[in-house]
Amino acid sequence: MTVILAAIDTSAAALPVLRAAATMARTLGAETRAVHILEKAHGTAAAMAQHAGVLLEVLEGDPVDRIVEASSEAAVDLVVVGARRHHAGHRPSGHVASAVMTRVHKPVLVVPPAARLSESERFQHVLLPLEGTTDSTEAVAGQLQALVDAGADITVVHVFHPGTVPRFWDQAAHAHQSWETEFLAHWCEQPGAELRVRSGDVAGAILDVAAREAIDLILLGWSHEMTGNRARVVRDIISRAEIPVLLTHVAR
Amino acid sequence: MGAYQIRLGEFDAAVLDLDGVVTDTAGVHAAAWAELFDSFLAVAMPDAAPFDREADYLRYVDGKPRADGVASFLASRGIHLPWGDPDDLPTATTVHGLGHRKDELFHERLGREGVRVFSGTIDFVQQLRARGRRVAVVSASRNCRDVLNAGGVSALFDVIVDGVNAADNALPGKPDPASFLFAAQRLGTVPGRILLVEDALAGIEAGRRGGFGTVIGVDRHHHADELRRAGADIVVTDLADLTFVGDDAGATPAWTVVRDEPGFSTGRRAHDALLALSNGTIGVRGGLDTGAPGRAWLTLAAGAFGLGADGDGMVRLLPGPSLTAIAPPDVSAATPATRWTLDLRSGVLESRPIAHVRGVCTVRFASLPRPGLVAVRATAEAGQRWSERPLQEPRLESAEALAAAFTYHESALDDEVWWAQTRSDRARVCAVARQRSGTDPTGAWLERLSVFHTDTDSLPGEAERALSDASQVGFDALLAEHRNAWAQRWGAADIEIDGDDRSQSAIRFALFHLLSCAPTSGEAGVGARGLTGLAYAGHVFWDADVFVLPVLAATRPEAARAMIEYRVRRLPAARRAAQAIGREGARFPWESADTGADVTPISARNHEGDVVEILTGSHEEHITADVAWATLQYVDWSGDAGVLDGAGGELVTDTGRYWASRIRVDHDGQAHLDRVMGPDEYHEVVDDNAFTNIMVRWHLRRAAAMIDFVDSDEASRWRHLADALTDGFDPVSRRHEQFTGFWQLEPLQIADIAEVPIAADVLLGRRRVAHAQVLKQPDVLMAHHLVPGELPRGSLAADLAFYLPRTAHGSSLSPAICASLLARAGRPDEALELFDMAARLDLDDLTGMTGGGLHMATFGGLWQAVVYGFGGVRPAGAVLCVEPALPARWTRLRITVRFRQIAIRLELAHDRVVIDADGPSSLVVHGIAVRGSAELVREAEGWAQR
Repeated sequence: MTVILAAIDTSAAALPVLRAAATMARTLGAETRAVHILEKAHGTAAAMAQHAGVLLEVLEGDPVDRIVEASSEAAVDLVVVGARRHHAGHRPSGHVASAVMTRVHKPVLVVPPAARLSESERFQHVLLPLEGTTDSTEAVAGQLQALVDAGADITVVHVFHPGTVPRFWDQAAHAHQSWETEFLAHWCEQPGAELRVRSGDVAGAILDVAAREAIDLILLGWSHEMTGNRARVVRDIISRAEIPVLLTHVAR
Repeated sequence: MGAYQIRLGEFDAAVLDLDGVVTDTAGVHAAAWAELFDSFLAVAMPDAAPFDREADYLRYVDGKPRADGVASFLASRGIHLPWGDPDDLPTATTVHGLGHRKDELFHERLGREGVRVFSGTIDFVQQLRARGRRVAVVSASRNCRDVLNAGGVSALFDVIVDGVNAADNALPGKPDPASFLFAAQRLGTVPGRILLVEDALAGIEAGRRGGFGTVIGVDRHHHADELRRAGADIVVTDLADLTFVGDDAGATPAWTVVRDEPGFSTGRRAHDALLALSNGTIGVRGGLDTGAPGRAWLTLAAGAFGLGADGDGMVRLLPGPSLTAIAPPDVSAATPATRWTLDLRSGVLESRPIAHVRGVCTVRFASLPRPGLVAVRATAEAGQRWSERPLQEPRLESAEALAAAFTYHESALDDEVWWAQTRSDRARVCAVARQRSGTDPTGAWLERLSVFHTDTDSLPGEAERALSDASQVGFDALLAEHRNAWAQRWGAADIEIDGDDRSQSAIRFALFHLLSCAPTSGEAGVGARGLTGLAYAGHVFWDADVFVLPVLAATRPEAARAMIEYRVRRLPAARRAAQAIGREGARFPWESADTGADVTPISARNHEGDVVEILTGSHEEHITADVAWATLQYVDWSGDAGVLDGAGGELVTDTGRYWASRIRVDHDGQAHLDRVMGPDEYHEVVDDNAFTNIMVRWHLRRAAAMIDFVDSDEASRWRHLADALTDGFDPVSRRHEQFTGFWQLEPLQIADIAEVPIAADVLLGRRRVAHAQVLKQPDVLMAHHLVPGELPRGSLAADLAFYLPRTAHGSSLSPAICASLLARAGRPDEALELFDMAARLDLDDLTGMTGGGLHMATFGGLWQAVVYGFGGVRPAGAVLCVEPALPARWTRLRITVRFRQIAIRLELAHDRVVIDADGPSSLVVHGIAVRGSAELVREAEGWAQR
């Protein structure tokens, strides 16, 4: 049995973190555990964990350091953190979330404070933004397969921007079908996966598809560095998403 | 390594003789023979000349079956022993008995002294193996394996063919090539791609007779001249004298396409398309033969369509039964790394494992002389299990909803013959296939012959008869006739470019697919992707008429004629289409499939997630002039004016009549075509599109000439309309305006936006490009390309200067044609850059869509860029004009065409032109009229005939 580790604070953001962790645990057939890093009183965290039926471990010290340590335990497969403390508009992710994202070398599920968590038992409809590069496809391969095995539907989204616009586009109707066919065959061979192609602002287009298509989880591969274009897209999505985002990166 | 170069890319394998090439067994044999004959002669004929270890050895015994050697030496001394029985004891005084005694003596020496191996040969074999080539050793000796073991080198050979194999398979000895051909088959390749190494005259002769690619003689006995006379291409004293050249991966730019998987960077579906085989009737995509799941084993039959499986109402290609699954379905897909080699010269696709382990090797081809026939052969280790069903339901990939919906049936007709069909709402693709398999001393083999047909091109029972005929001919002979047919096809069409391997390989690749995209008779509706994939639904666009037809008109006129026949048979549908919108004559559809009805989609999703209207079907009307252009292009090349006496003539005049009824004449007497779309689809509905108007003007003039003697009133009315048509030409700037109002659009240079090629409509949005001077492909330049005589002199340079910087080349049709025009305008080095863009389009999957099929129009554009552009070779009526403009790095360009039934080979260089014509022919070379063969050189004062 693998473990999903939920890192919670005492804010209202902890509840969706625990719920997302439980959903992920059911999806992947894992066990949930929570950690709380003691800053002040931990009564709230304990109560919330108890309410969620999750074993809580209380640690003392620097929150990021402790979460990173707890995550490094071999049994832990995936770490869940809140995007930020408060539901206060589209703010950048909190410093704990940012630090955990870059320092933990395991998949990190980032949960917004006002996450729209479906009532369903599992993550059922996953949105997979793909760039059409080997790196971005490899980064998600393991988690994608686990989610597919758990019965999730996959919708792939690809956004044309100046760096990814095709060079040739012959007859609009045929080109569209042909390009989609080849893109999926090349970058996401999951049977039944559907592709949405958009253009323009990458994060905006991804979130738009997520909202229109009742997506409950975004699976996002990234370089594990907070620099570069892809990282800007990742930051944008984390700060604006209303659903959990599962971040994975290529093991190097 | 030394003096002689071996172009590695031309070979998949090598076959080496044993004695004298790999091992110095000859010395051991010669000593054993000497011992045998000396003791025999001492008793039987004491005054006879003793056995000479050099002369007698070479003359009488070397390379021959043992008993033959005994008999032939003794005969030389006038001794004729009874042959006896193969089971005779070594003590028997018979030919066989003496043979056995010699064998004993040989083995005694082998055991006592071992055998020397030639180190130069061992290095040579190891180098070949390091480059993924398979190596066989062939010997008439039954001791072959013992000798290899004695020399410690048996592990170096993938295939060993020895005297035991020869006896079991009744293979006659050298100089009969049977044992070498047997090895070639085990190596999984064709003799033409095998390097053969021999030291004996009989072996050299066998190699020559077997059609081996290069025969190398190893001169161990100072008889180099005799080896050459016997047919050796190269004679060396040691294999260390050979040097390998060419791409280490084995790709010769010239004649092969090599792809390894896994590890093929642009994706396996692109690979399947690049390795597709076709004969114009049947297309088979490349693909893994060994049973990996999820692969598309796609077989496509020309002309077979059906309603699409995805319910959007589109008519799409109907996949035929699949025949390439080799392993049974329960064999897991632990497929070893595989190298695929497409031999363009012979139209044969081979696969074999990259590692030196034995695995499944396959050879397949789509027969040129037998249009429905596809043949597959596989070899593997003994014990390999094969799929029992030669035909199977096509397994489309999950993402691929681009095929017609179909039902599938199959049944076994007898132990060896299977029948299967796919059926759509309107068509069937049927196949009969015979499968045989077995095991021989070198492993297991499978042979599968299949004949495909559709309802439209075959009578009942015809396919079975064709299969039965093919089975009697046999795989090897079928392969040989296929290779011969390809050799003929290349002989009539090849292009050679000296000084630029990259362009050379690209033009050969393009030619390979162009030369095999249409059948020799009947009708040929060549789809935008030929028979290499399901993309673009197999629909026929102007790609066929304007881009593909010219190369066939100039090299395979009968295939060009079949392409015209496709249009001619749909003339009634085109007439109905014109009538339906209140016009006269005939209007051809922008996209066409089986019936000739318009099958252009009317809407599509775009990348903003919205559904947009597709206007090409309703507005891209120039197709109606393009089909007439294609017909006359065929007549220009072939001289076959007879086609115009019948339906071909009606095709040109009825389409002309459509334009006459379509043109609006204003109060000033100016003629206009309102609301059309040109090839530049960024500007969708425009007035007086220069390309369309110029094409229509040309069309009306040519059509008027054809009806003059029937109805001179109508003819003069057409001429009048043609003269009155606006063409946007501005005599001051000497440029043509692409359409009314184009000068007023937002001035944009593509370089300010992005690097070309770029899909500017995707980048900027359809609305922006519609209001800007940015082009998908340059309409005005396309008019210069198709009908240069219709545009004023001097306007090409001005139009190029204006339009090229505004061209995004977002159409795969654009770069090659622009290259052709740049060459015509005297800018061949810039032309080469655009030529290369088109050349890499499929080879490097620049579109990301090669997996859906190859871009036949881009291939056709490449040929036109070479022949019309760089070569400046183009018919003008009954004269062939030749005016080369070669890029600096092209030192020589050789072009082969057939002009008015005369084969003409042109050798074009910067300062020399050589014409080699098979008969009298009118040419104008650099402005100088010549009749047939001629040589012209550039001298100080200009070109002159020698």
